[in-house]
Amino acid sequence: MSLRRRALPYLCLLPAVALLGAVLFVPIGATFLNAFHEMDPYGNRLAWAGWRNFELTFADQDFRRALWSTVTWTVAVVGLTLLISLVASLHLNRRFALRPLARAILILPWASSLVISAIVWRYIFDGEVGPFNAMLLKLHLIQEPVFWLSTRATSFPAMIAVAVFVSIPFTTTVFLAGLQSVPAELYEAARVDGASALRSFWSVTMPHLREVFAIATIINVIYVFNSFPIVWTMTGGGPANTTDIMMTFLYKKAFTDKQFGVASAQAVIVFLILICFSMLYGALARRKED
Amino acid sequence: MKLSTLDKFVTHLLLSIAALVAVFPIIWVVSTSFKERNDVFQTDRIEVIPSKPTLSAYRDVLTMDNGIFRRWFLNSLTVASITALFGVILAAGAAYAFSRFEFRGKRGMMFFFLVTQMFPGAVLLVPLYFLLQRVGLLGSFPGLVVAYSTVGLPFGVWMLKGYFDTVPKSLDEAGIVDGLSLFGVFWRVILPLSLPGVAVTAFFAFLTAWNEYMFALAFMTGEENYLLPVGMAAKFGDQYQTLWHYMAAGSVITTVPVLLVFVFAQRYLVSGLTQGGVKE
Repeated sequence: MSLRRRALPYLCLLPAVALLGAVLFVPIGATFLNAFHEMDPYGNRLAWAGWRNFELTFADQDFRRALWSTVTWTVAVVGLTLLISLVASLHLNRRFALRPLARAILILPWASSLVISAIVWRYIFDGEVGPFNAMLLKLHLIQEPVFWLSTRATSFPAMIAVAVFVSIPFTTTVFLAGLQSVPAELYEAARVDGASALRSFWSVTMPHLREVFAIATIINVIYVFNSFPIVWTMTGGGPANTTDIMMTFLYKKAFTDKQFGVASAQAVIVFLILICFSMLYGALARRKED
Repeated sequence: MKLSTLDKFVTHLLLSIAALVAVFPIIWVVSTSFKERNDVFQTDRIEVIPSKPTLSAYRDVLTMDNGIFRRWFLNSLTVASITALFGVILAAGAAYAFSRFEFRGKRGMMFFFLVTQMFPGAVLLVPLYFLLQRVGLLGSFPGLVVAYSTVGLPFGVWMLKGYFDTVPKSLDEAGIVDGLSLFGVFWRVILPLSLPGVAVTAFFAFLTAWNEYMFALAFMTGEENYLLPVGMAAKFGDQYQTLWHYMAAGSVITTVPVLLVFVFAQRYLVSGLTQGGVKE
């Protein structure tokens, strides 16, 4: 093989790799450096700060609450999304007359911007003119309008519901792709062997879904842990930072308070949590396969 | 699989409820966009079909503040289109190398691309802000294009590789025999045969840029430079918070063009995901 031909794949990769390096890897390196420095409000590194930014971060009660909220948020959103998407995909995989229509409807929320979905849901949950209140009042489930987004007790569940709503299309689509890889003969064989529907689900469907299930879980966890637009638009993390999750909290630390050292420390914490999760989950998924 | 009548009933019932929940926000927004201000504030009944439908919300949104909304639409269209073009060109090169060559470090490279897909936006936000500032691209459309095409790049490479893989390698050899150069094979054989994949990859890149919020919020200043989502949130989230019919009209204008492409391209989108993203 000629040298030119051997060099060709590297040349083809060069622009993409260079860009990823400059725009993703260099900034991530910078984040780690910044986390251990005192930073001025213009983003310049001043003195080495050791673990100071991390100490400040963990001493901050609002941060601890935001971190805990993010864990709750992620578990709730991803758990519900996986559950609903699994049920939905099992039903959508059946043959019925309106299936193409059902699948088209399923995919609709995927196309719209998260911010716009969030503004729309803010309208739906609005205390004065929102249709959600109107509906509940009509059904006599509530006696007077509820201001859903004004207190954490109601706004946090509402935002979880919205996040689940927007995560379902992707997840269901991935599950459907997985379901289509299950050979129909296996179901037939299970039926001949007298397996119940539940049994054939556990023994035939689930093993085939394991891989897509793992992928959907990891992608969803990373995505949901990092989510920003829904909370930012619906409550802005308020009142008094009580509904903040990591991303909204970090955004304020950086761009409102201009505390770039502390914000970088928080970014590093998010990064480490997600890396640990991915590796742990990957290891677990692999061990099950053996 | 044969289904009992009960099974069928349950399936239909569940899916009907789900469809209703999924469609309600869309119907409600479309309905609100055709309402007048007074009808929006009518709270004693849920009016799905406006009693006096009007286009006034659309007219007002398109003309308010010297047509700022049209400006945002144009900004978003520009940034998203260039992102799509730029993203596909970059992804195609890498995907071609992965699909057609065996070379040292290939597995490591592919892993590298997979891992970058998992980088959280949290880690990128602040340093990217200062990186763009340092090279003088902060607050500019090229800066956003660079950010979006990079963030979407690994996914695009992964997708395009899946599509390139479906073009049989025997066609490459036939092309070479017919006197095509390697670039000729790529340009005249592989690319045309994976055109749906290229279109889907471009569309995904477009969608990323069209819908993204956090970077656009942090990096762009000055109302006339906003992209649609930031403008929408600023105008209808804060300033005109209670003018829900304007918000609805703005949402419809923002979403419908993308939605049409999405529904039309749905089949390719899904097959692209399964070929490139999930397999292997």
